Amino acid sequence: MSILIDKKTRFLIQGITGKQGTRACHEMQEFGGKVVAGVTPGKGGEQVEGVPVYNTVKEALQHHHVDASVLYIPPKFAKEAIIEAIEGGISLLNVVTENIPIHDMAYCLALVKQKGARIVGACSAGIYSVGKAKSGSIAGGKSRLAFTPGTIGVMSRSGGMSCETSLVLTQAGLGQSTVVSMGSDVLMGSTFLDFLPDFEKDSETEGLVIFGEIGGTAEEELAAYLIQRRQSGNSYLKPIVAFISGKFAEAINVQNVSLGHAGAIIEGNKGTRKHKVKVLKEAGVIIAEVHHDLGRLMKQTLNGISER
Amino acid sequence: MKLKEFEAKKLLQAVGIPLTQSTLITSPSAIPSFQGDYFLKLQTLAGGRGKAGGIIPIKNSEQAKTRCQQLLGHVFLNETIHEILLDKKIDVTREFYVGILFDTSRKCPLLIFSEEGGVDIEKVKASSPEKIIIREINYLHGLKEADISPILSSFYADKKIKSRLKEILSKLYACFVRFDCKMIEINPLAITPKNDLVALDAVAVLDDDAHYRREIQFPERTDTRKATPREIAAHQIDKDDYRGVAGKTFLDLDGDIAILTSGGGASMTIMDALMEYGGKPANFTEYSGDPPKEKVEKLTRIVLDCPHLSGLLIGGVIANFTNIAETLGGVLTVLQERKPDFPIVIRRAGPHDEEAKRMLLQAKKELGLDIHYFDEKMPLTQAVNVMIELSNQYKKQRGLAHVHSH
Repeated sequence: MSILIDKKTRFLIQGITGKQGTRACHEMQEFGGKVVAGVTPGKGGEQVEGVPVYNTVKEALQHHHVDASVLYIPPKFAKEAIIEAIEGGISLLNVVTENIPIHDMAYCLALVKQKGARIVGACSAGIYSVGKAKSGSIAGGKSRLAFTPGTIGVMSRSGGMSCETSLVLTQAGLGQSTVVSMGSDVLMGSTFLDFLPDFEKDSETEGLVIFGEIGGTAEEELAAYLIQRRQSGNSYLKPIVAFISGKFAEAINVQNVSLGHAGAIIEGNKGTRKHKVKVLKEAGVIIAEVHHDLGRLMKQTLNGISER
Repeated sequence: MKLKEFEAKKLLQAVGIPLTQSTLITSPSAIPSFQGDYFLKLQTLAGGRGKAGGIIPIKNSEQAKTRCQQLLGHVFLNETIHEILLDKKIDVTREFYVGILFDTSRKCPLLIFSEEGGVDIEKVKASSPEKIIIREINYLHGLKEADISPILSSFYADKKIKSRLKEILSKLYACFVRFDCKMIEINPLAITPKNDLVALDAVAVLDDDAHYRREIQFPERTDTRKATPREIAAHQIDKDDYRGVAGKTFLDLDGDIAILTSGGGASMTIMDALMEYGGKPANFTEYSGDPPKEKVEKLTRIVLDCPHLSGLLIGGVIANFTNIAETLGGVLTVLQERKPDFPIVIRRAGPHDEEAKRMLLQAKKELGLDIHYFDEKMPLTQAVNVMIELSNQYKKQRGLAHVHSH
């Protein structure tokens, strides 16, 4: 098993005729994924890597069953493309586009909530169910060497570090089940918390590794969820090891522009590395102080569990 | 991008939110003649202006001129003051707080209202949280009657205040949407003796990703800290050539290890590891997105333009499409020119990395450079550890100070 995508997933690529979209299509096919259709307005009737291109999502859906859409759409047009996919009833949207205006994302996230679909991204490098299927640019080129099939679920706020995190696991002898690059914007379609139930249900996943960053509250929400589960006598049983970057950034104070007083009353002292590490530790998450320690710590933890 | 008070007020004005009568002063000679109760408000990006003495009561234009001469062009709260607002003092019976911002965990805008305004809203939250009302706004529907009515009903019987407040909240939300704000707040929103409402101060943070469609444009923010010559030179590399990114972010630091990183997440992880292992960076910079050789070459020159270096660290994750031979070729050109004697640690992998490795190892042999080349088999942060150890050895051999002994 794996989460979100597997060998059976039928993909649509929105923006398939662009350079990045075409490249992703080629790679996704190479990894054994089923890319059933592509969409680029005005390019209907063309083919990319043998995949038929349609002018609209609606048209594509008239001819194909689609489980997931990968979006390589310029930021200015991303909102319309996301709406098209949601309205079409596609249940998983992997948005790769960077720099989507936050108000456009706010609209899409409200719509997705109403319609019951799921967005991973924006600014996601992709999703990779290792050895089965991938969505997006993740594991492209030589970086595929970083991944091996296995039992660790990986969630990362950085696209590049989703690869490096998988690499240190591979080097510690730990393969990965599904690797999710979830983006790091103020408004994210899905965060750590959203994937936890999926990984819990996935019988192949034995442990989770997280690459977190300063800013936002995704790490704090994860910690609160774990604590709440523990308090209700229903602890999350799969071990979690995390690396939270930001020591340097905080030391030289290059944090994102603060949202000022209003931000402070919503987020309080959340958002700093110190706070994230503190609450994650309280929630039972093991923290790696340097990144490559993630592999060793996860291995130790899993060995500890099997000895018990 | 954060706006100053007078800029944020331009947004409020555009949607018709009432403001006090005020004049923007950028030169003392431009102060109109007046007499009466006024304030000089220094235009800063940082908060806490009032407490620090940035709002000054004034009685006439002579006084104003003298103070503006003292203040304009001078540093206040680590910022150089370029603008001062001259605001007429008005009588106020009561002050509210109102703000709208995106909440990362609820994934929607929040409307925040406090019946106590004019002070730090954090303090109100701490001392009397019951005075603060927070409403989640469904972006599909916008600000609805149901979002506003709890605010209106809880405080005032006065019909005029109610209707004015309702109007201002609607206008503020419209302003938040129309100008692609990440956050906008009015604090205080004051009630006058005639029960009119007026915005006395405002803060706004704009979404840089929506810059292209904003009707009102504001000048780019320059750093509050003055850029160093190296920082200016590095930024220029990126401005001169649109291909890839190199030098867009550059920080001059006071350590002894020169840094060339690639990729956002990777660069931060490298710097974190450097700190964890006790290393001191001489700079921070990043290149990515497959920049041409010349851009990396120029950036390398700036990175190495620093006395007393004890190492050069070049690192990134496995690249998807950045040409490793091309980019490291840019580094090599500078190394060939300068032939530094300190250790150079490289951890790079990706397209054409075999060629890059060959090239650098050849230079190592021919020029006697102390190059340590690693590919993906060496974890990124492990390579940082190698850099620190080699740098410490280098300093020890040369009897240099600041060797970390562990």
